[in-house]
Amino acid sequence: MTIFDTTPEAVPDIATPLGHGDADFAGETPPKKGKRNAKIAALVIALLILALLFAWYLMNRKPLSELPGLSQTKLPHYEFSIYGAIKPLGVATTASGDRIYVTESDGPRLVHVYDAKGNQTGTLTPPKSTGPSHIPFYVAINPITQDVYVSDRMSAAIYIYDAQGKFLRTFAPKGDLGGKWNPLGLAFAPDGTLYATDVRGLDAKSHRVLVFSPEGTLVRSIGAPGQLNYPNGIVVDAGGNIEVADSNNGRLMIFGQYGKMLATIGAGIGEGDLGLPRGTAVDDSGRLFVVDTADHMVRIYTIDKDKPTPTYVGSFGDEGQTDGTFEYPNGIATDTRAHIYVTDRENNRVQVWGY
Amino acid sequence: MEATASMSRPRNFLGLPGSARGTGSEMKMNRRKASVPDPTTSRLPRLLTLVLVVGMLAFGVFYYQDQHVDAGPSMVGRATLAAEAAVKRSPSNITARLALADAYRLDKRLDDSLNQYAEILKADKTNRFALLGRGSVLVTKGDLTAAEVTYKKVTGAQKKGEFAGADPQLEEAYYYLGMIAVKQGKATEAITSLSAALKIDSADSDAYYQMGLAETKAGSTQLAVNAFQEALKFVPTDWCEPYDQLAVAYAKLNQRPSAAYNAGMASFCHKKPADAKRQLKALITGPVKVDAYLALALIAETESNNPAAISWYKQLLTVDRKNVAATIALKRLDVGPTGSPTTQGSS
Repeated sequence: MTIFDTTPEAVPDIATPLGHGDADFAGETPPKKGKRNAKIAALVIALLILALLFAWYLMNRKPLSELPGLSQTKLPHYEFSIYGAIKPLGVATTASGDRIYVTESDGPRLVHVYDAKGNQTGTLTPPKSTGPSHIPFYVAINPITQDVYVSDRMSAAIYIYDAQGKFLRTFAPKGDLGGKWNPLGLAFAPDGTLYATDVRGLDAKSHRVLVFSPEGTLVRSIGAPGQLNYPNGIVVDAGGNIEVADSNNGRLMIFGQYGKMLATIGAGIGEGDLGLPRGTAVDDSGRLFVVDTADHMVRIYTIDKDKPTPTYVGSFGDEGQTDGTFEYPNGIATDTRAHIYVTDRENNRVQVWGY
Repeated sequence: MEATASMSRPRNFLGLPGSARGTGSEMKMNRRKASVPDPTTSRLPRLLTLVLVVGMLAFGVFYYQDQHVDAGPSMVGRATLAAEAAVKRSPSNITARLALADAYRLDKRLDDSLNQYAEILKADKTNRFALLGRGSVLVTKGDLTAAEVTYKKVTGAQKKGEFAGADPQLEEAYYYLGMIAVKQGKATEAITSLSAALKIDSADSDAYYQMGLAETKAGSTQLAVNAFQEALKFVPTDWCEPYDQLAVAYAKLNQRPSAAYNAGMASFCHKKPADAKRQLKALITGPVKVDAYLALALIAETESNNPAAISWYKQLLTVDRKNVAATIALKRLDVGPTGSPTTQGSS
């Protein structure tokens, strides 16, 4: 009796009579050695793949579902919520997602700062001279200085804080704005150019997008009189185009870098059509996110540099109070780790979704 | 035994160096040369496997820790915890108890919720918030008889109140009594309760729908049709049941075009647009052509096919020149005086 399976099939080389083929072994690579080499090669390849995976992950810190080559048309899933801000409106995050800024439109009306796990680490408080009527609305981070810009439409101001939350100054635009302004949506281009939507006056004919150089000089105004009606969220995509939520016209307008209108995503009841767009964001995978406040969801499109109109991918969210549902969402931001941050205004939380 | 011993030998060569026995010195040397691995190359696959496994495990642990965030309790869970804390602080506070009962109800902890409502009703037998909450939980649990008793306590206590004609809670109680009666097959009782609900809130589409069901059970098909149509005035899309019911009711009344129109709308509602378009296109020359054109335009809009929608609306205006819905829709779709879109749409 033996504990081994000694059938020739199980151990093929024992079927060869001893001594047979020994001469061959002396002069050539023996089969076992060949197998061993193949095994070593396979293991080395597996280790290389593992090392590449490690390297890719350490460089990107993204979920594996975001590995290059995988589909970009998938939809994100709910991860967790951040609580603390009352009626949150705007949200911005650092590229790594380690600092998240959330504006609140009720209660003390501060800007809350959270870490990547949703723990509050501080607040941004405007100067006392602002008075009681202020409402922080949208927030953006200057990619050059890391300063935090907070729009306050009621105070007709943009407040600037440093990354640690210390108030620095009120943004003082250089150049002729043509009278008063009421900044709302904010976005930065990678070179520090600031884009701000301006909703001055009750008459939408004067609503526009203002572009400021990194030094704060007015460069140009975008939007013909009457074209934009309460433009809200604004974002600059990787190709330099500007996506603006033309909120009360129920559409998203896409302008070229110099203000030429390229395309719109219109209002309607069809797939990918919009109702009341507010916040907008793009991620580093070329996905465009638009918060549709009235439909309580976020619509996702992919930006194709060869096509002016983004392609609709799908949407996430629905009306409700459970995890993954929204009550009048407003602002949106993305980090480079495939997270999407959405302010869920009436549920007093910021929802974090991920791929 | 001999065969077994010799056959097991090669295994030893693979795994245990220096175990060649009884094969003669020359053969032993040859086999050693051929098969006994160099200790370094023998250990290498194992070492690589070990590194691979450890590496994968390390990556898995690091990946999980880096990606995972403890979501903590949900919003409803947080509300429940806060309400529980409030009740612990002040057990006799009815408002806190109500908040806890409602939180349990939202959290689908139905028995806990019922217990809290019971505690409130021990202290205040006619607390209508507790009665309505308890009724709602009992309906969810399927205990219609107990729910009926609970809702009747609300209507019994409040139907002669000063604001009974505009009391939303009384309306809610009547609505649920009507719905329960429909489920129990008591058509007359259902019609009485739903009529009372609609007298308080004449825009309650759900009450109209239940009324349609009650009238159907009562055999009053035309009244049922009227009720379903009222319901659809308030919620014309994404609500399939009234269209399903109307298709059946019109067929009973032998009004085939209307039955076919509602069947088409039901197909559209049930996400079968191709069927819906086929059914509706067959109706554009008949007595329900206005409705059919409107429906076809609506489907086209839903499919982001604005040119087709514009075309359907225009055809509708040829048969009903003053149709308000078509005129407004064409304006919404940015059709200028020449009939062509003035701005670029998404499609």
